[in-house]
Parts: sequence; structure tokens; C-alpha cells
Amino acid sequence: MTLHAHGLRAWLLQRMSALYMTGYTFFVLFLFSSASISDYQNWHSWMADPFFSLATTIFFAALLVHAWVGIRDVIMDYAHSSLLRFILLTATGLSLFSIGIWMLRVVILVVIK
Amino acid sequence: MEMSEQQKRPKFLNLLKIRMPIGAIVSIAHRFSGVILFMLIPFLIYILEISLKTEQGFQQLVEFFNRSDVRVVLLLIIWMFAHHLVNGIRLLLLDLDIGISRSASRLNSWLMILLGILITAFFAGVLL
Repeated sequence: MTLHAHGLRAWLLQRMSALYMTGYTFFVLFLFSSASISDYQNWHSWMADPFFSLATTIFFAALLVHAWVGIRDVIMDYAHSSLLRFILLTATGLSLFSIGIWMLRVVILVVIK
Repeated sequence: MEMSEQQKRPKFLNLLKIRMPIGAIVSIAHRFSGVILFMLIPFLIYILEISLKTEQGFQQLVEFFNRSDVRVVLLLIIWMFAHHLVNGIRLLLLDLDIGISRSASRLNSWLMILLGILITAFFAGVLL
């Protein structure tokens, strides 16, 4: 069986992204409970840190992939007409894609500042 | 013959009349919280952007999140996130055949509800 078998790749992406986001959540909770954000400069320097900004960017990439698979499942369960399905899937995909670009822009502006 | 028997079967699609097992309720909650969290993603990026752009924006966000009504809404979101996360871990364990028996699955479903509430209660203590 290859990864292109029906739904298996989506299933795997859903679980891998879930694992990463869980790890990131605990990491961030631990980080901010031991060193809280005191002010703007402090928060900005957190995000400008290469490791933290990379980990955060990967978090959002995982979030968008996870959301795509999840919302796709919901749409396919409830929208039975193929036209409606196409419209909803396209709208979801385009929104997630633009959100991804937007998030990258936010991180890049911080890192190059 | 068989078809007509099947067609006579009563259908109870009134969700209020169906007694759903706990697994079904947790599953619906997982889906519902997932859709809500999905709709919150743009707000999350917006908050991230404002908090990093200018010092004034950062200060405005601090004031915004200090409001008690905002914190109550935030707690509801934390509850949905916590429930989605802990139930997600249950689903990952189910993939590994852990907690797959009917009794274990029912018990774990209740445990995940409880854990989600406990995590929310912890953050209520921090935020309120």
C-alpha cells in the first residue's frame, strides 16, 4: 500500500501535525511560565529569535495542514452536491493559503527588522 | 419482501430523542471545537501581527486582554482548545489500539471531558 492510497496521506498528515502542535503547545506553555513576556521589546526579541520563529512558523504550517484535512472531512460529510463541495473546498483552501502567506509576512517582517 | 420490511422501520432522526453514547458526544464536541478553532485562525494571526508591529499595538492588546469579559470568552476558547487537544491524544492512542475496548473507550471519553474542564479551571484560576 502506498501513501497515495485513499485518505491515508491525509490521515497521516492529520496525526503528524497534531503531534507537532501538541509538542509546541507544551513547549510554549513551559517557556512562558518560566520566562514571562514583560513588554513589547521582550516579546519582539522572542519572535526575532531564529529558533523560536522557525518553531512558530512550523506550528502554523502544521495548523493549516491540520485545519485543511479536518475541514475537508467535515465538508465531505455534509455537502453532498459536487458543486457545493467544490465551492466550499476551494473557499477553504484559498483562505488557508492566504492565511499562510499572511503569517509568513508577519514572521519575516519581525526577523528582518 | 425484505425491502418493504426495511422501509417500514421507524426512523428517529430527532437528535433530542436519540440517547447518544458518550463516545458520540465526545466525537461531536471534537468536530464542533475543531470548526470553531478553524474559524479563529485569522484572529490569531491578526493578534500576532498587531502585537509585533508597534509598541502601541502591543499595549492595546494587553489592555484588551485585561478586560474581564474578554477573559471569559478567552476561557471558552481555551476550553475548546484543551478539549480538542486531550481528545485528540485519545484518538491517537486509539490508532495504536490503546483504549479501544468499549468499556475503556467510554471511560476515557469521560476522562477527556474531565481533563478538558480541569485544564480550563486551571486557566480560570490564572486569568480571573
